[in-house]
Amino acid sequence: MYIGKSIYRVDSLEKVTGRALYVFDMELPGMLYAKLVRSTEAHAKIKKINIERARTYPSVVAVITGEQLREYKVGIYVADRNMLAWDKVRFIGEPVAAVIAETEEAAERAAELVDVDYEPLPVITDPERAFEERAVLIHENLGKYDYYRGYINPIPNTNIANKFVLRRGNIEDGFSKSEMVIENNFTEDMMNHVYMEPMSVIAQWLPDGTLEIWTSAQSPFAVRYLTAKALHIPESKIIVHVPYVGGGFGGKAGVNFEPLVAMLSKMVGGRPVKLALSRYENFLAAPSKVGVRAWVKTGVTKDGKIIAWQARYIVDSGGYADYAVNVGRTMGYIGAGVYDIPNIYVESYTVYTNKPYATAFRGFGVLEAHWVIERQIDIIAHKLGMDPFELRLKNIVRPGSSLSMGQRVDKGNGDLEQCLKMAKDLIGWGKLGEKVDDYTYRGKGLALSIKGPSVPANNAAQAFVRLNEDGTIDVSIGTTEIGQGTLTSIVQIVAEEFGVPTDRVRIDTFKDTSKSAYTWQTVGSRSLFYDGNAVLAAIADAKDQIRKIAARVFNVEPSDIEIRNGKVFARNNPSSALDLKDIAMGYTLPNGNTIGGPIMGRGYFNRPDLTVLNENGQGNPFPFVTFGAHAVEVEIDVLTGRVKVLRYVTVFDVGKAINPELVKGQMIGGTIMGISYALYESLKFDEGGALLNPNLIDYKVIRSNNIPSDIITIILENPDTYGPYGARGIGENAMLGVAAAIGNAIYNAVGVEVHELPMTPERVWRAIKEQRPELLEGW
Amino acid sequence: MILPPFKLYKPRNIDEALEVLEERGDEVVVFAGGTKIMLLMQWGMARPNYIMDIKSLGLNHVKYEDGKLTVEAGVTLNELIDNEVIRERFSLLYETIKSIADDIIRNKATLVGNIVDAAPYATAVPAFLLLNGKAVLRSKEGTREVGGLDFFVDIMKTAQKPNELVIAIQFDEIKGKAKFLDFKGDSLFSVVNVAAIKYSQDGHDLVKVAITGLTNKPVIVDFSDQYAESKGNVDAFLRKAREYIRSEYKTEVIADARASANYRLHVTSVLVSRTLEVVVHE
Repeated sequence: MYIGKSIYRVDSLEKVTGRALYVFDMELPGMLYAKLVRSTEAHAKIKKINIERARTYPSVVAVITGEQLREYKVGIYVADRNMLAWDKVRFIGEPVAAVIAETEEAAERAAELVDVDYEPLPVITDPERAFEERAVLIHENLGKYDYYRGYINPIPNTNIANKFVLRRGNIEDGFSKSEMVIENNFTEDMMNHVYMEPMSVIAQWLPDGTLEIWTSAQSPFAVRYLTAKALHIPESKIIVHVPYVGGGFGGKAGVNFEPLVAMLSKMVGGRPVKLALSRYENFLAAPSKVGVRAWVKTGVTKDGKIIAWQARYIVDSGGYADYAVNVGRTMGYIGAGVYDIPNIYVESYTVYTNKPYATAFRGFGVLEAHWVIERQIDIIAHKLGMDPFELRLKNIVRPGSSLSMGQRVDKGNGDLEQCLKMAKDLIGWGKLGEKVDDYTYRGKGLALSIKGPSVPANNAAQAFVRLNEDGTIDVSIGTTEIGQGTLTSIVQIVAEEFGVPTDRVRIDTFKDTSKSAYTWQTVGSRSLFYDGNAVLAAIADAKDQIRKIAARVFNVEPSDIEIRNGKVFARNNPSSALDLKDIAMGYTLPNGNTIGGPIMGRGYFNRPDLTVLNENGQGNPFPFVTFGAHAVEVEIDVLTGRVKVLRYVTVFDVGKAINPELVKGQMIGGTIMGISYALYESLKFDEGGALLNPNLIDYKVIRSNNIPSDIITIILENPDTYGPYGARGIGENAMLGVAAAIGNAIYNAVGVEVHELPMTPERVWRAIKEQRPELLEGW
Repeated sequence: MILPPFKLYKPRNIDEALEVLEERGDEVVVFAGGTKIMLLMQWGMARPNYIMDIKSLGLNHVKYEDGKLTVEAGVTLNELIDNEVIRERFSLLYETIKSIADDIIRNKATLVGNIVDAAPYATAVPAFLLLNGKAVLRSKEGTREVGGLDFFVDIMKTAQKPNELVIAIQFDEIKGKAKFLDFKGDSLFSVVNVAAIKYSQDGHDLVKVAITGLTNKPVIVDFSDQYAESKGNVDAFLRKAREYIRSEYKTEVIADARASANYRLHVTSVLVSRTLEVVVHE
């Protein structure tokens, strides 16, 4: 009825009419405005902060510095960050003070009057240098910080915030048996999420000591948990509200400015204080995406069997560890992606540099790893003289084998081979690329991808399903609406299970941690899978309650009761049915007695069989994995190096498309974001650590005229063993293979290997000049 | 973000505007479309004490007379695109304007503003140079004209004096063949803008190229002699032109976050070659 239907999103009317509420637009009575004073040094001791002129500026209520907040430390995995820099700054843009005023303008003008004396320290911007460096330490107290033991592994007296190692088989043995060994280096620049709504937080304290927060954040429960931890208060004393979120892409996955704004409010007597960043400030002070330096070495037999895979990632986390340490970890444990290789050794080092810090980003380490893996696979094919399609077919995991971290693959994970074959056919896979004219070449490239949520084994989701007096249904889950549309699919599930129209089901689009059902975080493409299953459990619980009541009304066993099309009846007597509304509040007999009471189903979902990774990075970490294939046709102007994407094919085995248009939207969106990441986006820093392009003119994001008009999306539905209706996640997946597919297509077109992301025109030109100068003869 | 405080002048006629400039021209930023000053203020790179809005001065006319085009200061880029005279008689200008920003920004941005901005990436300056562009400058003292390279003194600095307002820009109609190309890498602003033109004068073929973005100041290169010497061998001519660009500007070429010196020089030679190829084609 509703599963597999592309109904309109539940949030669409609010969003297209401009009624949708975002924290950025919110105002509370008596609200004050905060502005941050940001560091102008990349690495320096703070000697003195002069706040007098700011403090006495008209309408200023308070000026807060790191000194007043020094006992509070924040950090999801490593508690390495002060809310406002104290004693030291570690990147240009780091907040060192906050001005709170009656108007935004006063706060901004006064913030300019805060004067900071710095004592500069040596600056490290290069992650490889940070990795080697022992004399200059960005976090000299790394050995003393609290951190998530058993999961993250910081190395004291270095700039290494996390070391992760994956081992499988015997790598030396693997190389000794190899008939050819191929080594390559790859790089990826740091990038920015460019979510539409900049970071925004409002906080206030109620008279009874309750902290109330409104935030544009993906994970309200993580905000509550981590803020409680940072401020040493119980979670029952914090309420986190999240309305619509104007995009997140991982940039708002964890905790960011909430603890700071909470403390700012506290220091002005609990009055509501709002911090909303401008786009410019967001580039500087809000976290972005890790950069990567990668080295990979692969051993193969002459007939194309990959038997050894070694890699080392140096992951640039900027000034603080935040979520990036787990991104680095995941980059390691995804190992060799979709390939079945007996001997693997991967090291991943997440390092500190004096640049704005990094956090989660769509793809979460698996994105970055795929640039390396899927490019390396093609280069191996070129060196062996093999078709990259054939090499992939020969080495992909199949049901019965296992992934690099040891997790077994079976039919319930979907059909990777089918994805690969369809992508290859639909792009029109042939031989070498064609020459359009003297300086314009076309080529095609393939890539495969895999991802599952990178989550703690015990992460869970909860759901509530409550009947209203008229038989309509309210459902609550913990997932936020960040643009991905999960909430709509949940409504479809509830409607389907009760057999009622979708407009008789309401889902809580806004979250309130004191009322909403819990989910771990809205990240990792986990939401439909976890929350969908929790909702099914809650529905089963509600139906249980309905059956018990109806059984007594109809004088049958509960198992004889059917609930269909909004009606409740005994199987042997369907004509004598009750409406849901007759049971919603319990059933009232003619004499006034009641059977049962208000119906509220509750349920949860987790995968109790997931494990942590052992000291070799082996375990059973993924609740599901989604396989997919990417194919692209590009056109290159060799004289300028400009790459244009002509056609794109994206094939994913999502298990079940509960709302096909939404799935398609994710696939197209992921493709577009992937093209942007592959060709344009890069945070550019000078050697002093200053960000040269903190704006949308010089940080180029793909625009409509760069998008290929031809994006073919194919949805395969081989059901997942554990997914709701067999559904798997898709949110991040469609982006993973785009960059490598394009890089591979460039080789197919002009025989040039590109190793850097993004593949800007200048970089492509340079590669052509170095590798195939004859193409540029006379130019 | 809140813009820094400033005082806004909205003169009702040109005389009022000139009064303001006479009094405090060095502190005033003139504003029509505002696409430059708004950005600079948002990025914290400009803090003008005074901004003068010239949109009410009635400088919205486009005049074509006796082979001369006059575009007044308030005329927006989209107004020019919609103008038949531009499309039919000033194809170089038309092609140039269509490359500037996007349709939405072109509703506000002005042609005069783009030229007077004198940014290295100023798209319309090559067309200005090749069409004998002249800036019409008015002050309380009177009116004068400054044209060609003389108008561009340095990066983002023109010959305009603090008490002068650029009322309009004039272009000559040149009957010949022209072509404009720009190159945008991973930025929305151009790395380099190139226009080429070929026309006859006194029985000779003149072939010229104008470039912004290559060096601090705009550049005009006269290729007429090389073209004549090539005697119809287009490939040889283009090769020579490319070599000329690469050697002549090797030391002056600028480098920034948008392109290295090396790449910029190369792309310029590519665009010069491609535009020349179009204009010399029979």
